[in-house]
Amino acid sequence: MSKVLPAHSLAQRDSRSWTESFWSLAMRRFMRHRLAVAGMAVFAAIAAMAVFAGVIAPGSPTAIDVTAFQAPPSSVHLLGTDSVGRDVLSRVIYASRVSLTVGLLAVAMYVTIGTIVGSIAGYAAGTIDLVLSRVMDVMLSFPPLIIILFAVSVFGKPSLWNVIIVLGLLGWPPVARLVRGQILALRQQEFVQAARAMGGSDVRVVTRHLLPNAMAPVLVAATFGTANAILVEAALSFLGMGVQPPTPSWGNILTDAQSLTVLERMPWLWVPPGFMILVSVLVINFVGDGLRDALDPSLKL
Amino acid sequence: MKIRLRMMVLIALAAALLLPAAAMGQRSTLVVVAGMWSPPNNFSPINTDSSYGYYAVKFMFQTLMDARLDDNQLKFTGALATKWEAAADNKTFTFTIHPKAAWHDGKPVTAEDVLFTVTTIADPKTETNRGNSIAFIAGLDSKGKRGTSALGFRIINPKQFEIKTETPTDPLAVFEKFGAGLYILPKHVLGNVPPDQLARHPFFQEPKVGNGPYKFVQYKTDQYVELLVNENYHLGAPNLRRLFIRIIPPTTMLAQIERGDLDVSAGAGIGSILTDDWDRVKAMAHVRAISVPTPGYQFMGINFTRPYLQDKRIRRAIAHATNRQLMVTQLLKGEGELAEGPIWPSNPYFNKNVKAWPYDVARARALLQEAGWDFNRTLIIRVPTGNIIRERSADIIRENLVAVGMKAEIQKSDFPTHLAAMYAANYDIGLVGWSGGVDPDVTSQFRTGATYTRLIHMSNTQIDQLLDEGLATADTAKRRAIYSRFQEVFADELPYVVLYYQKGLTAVTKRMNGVVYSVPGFYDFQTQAWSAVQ
Repeated sequence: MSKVLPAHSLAQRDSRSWTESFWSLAMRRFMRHRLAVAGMAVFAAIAAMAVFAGVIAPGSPTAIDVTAFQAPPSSVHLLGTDSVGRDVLSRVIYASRVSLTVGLLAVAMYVTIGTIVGSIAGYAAGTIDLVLSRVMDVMLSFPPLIIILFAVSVFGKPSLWNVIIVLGLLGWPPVARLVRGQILALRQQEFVQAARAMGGSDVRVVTRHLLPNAMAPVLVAATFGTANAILVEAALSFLGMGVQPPTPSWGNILTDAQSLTVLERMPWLWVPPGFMILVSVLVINFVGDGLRDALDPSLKL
Repeated sequence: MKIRLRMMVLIALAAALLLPAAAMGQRSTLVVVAGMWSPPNNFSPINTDSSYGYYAVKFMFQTLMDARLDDNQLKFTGALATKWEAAADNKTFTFTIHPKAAWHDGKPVTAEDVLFTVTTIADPKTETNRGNSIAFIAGLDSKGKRGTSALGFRIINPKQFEIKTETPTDPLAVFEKFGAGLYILPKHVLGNVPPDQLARHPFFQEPKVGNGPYKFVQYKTDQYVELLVNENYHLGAPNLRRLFIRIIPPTTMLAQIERGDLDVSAGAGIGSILTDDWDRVKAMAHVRAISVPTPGYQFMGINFTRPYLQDKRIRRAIAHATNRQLMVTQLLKGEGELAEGPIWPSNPYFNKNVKAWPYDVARARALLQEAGWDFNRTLIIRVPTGNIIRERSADIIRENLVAVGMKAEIQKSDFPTHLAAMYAANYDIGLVGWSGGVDPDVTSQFRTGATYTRLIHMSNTQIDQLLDEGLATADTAKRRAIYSRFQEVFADELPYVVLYYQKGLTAVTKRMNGVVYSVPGFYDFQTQAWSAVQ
């Protein structure tokens, strides 16, 4: 009994057992949130649609039916055809790939950047924190859509990957702020001081002790961010600055709806992609709500 | 019985009240509303923006003649002028101004005003976009600016003058460009303004002294232009009293036409009916849906600087691969025409015997094989945003190219970026629209080194030669032969593929008469001929 355990392993075990119980608690709480679970299920369905688009879609999203332009729904084209004679249903199904890719990859990218910058700022404090925080302030003060439009056009050619990269590079400041705030609060706590006193390196302290405890709000932010990224992609593609035709995206399918006649009399051209944008953003927000409630530290006990 | 009697009394009363108004009404209360998409930047008859400004100018200022195309023939009618003649040598042209033609302040329109307009435009310090209307007059350079030699303009008497050209010139070209293209300025108002200050002169914000059938009342910035009929107009005042040009976006325009709040849509390019809305307008009982051929067309430029696109057979294969008929029947709902060259089918100089490149997948494949096309190469199709029909055509082109085994990718960008990319030869296929006039001269678009030629990076000595010859020839029959040959060479070389000539789609309420839309420019019409019934 007199044998003293190495300090770091004690701290580690302590931290791990704490997080484990925390995450399982959160899981239980999330499962009680009915809207969130339903949202999760619908989101899974959309994801499955994206992955298996080739199997589910009745036809090619780019093939032109020369006999049917802007044709209403029929047995041949269940959701009608668009202004270039392409099957709307197939396009909407394939478009889910674009929206989900943009949403998930862009958010993964900016969460990574935001977490790194935020932990450096929060842990290093002093001048480094000051400089990084001001950089975040400056970036947050730009109108986001305008700067994204500008960046996409400067990048040369608009494309799916450029949209992801631009969103990823510009979206990190809110996440960085969140992480910085968490870390600033946590670094004064005893277990962190203990870890440091026992000789844990900075990187180790941050990655093993600080970040695991700071991730809950980031996860929530990332969820909401995914919904936002889907919306931004739709807006960019609607403006012609996003995904390039003929690749369908929900946003660029909507570009057909720019005349009163289409809006009033050809709903099949714009209701399906609009509905998909609405549903996907809504369910992701439900999931985000559920996560936020489940991970709220004040409800822990 | 009682009810019916009361009704009759009511009707009689109403009629009695309305009758005097109706009797006077024809002249005093008729208000007509026209609509266009964007505001004019000013009302200068020599320097406003190309389309929106001139739409408004056309009501207040006039040219010497009006031009219109009739059965592929250019016809002229008098506006400010009553007579126009070409001398036998095709170097002297005499014009006679209408004896009663007068400015809105009562002063007569004279040959002095025309001379003033010409010298003002010819002054290097004047900001103007009308140089092309006078450039062929002796003493002026190709941009219509004055050199050191004497100006070929002589005043015969206050209502008559002649202009001289250095070389014999096709009278049709002179009458179209000078006669129907030059709006006359009032010398007694602007004569003392230094040319370099003219562009900022308040007159061009409030042109109170015009010479046309309507007088300027006011311009509510970005909302509407208000005009009042000119009771003293020399060809007889129109029966409209007041005319508003409203500035409204396309969707609002359609809604207002449907409700009967708008009488006239301004026309192709500045206030036309969207193709998507066309069937709907055609179905409106109170509206005449007018579709007219225009010289405006869309084409796909094929980048000549790319070694792999220099073989004629490749360009022909691309033309054969593209289903242009589909674009006309489906994208344009039939409101378009096909042609192989830059001279439109309604043009008097159009050559209808030019060999066409119809949609033919098998032929396209064979040509590609024959020319040794690398089927792994990906072509970049650049398309600017804004014109939704053109954006849709890019999708069709890509599918068509894929169908013959080629690989192609679409690059969309905003218009300035698109143009920059085309000037920089950073494309394989680039979509743009151009417009010609009635005169078949297209030097600025196809002569080696010319402004627009640099957009499609073309240089062809045979075409250069034909264009030079066409410019230097005055005889109409000889010119026709030259431009027929030009069109044959063009279709053979295929420096670009013309996709379609889009018709101008306009809506005019049935109560309007005389709103003619069949003239060379996009939006030319005779404002003095407008009339309406209530």
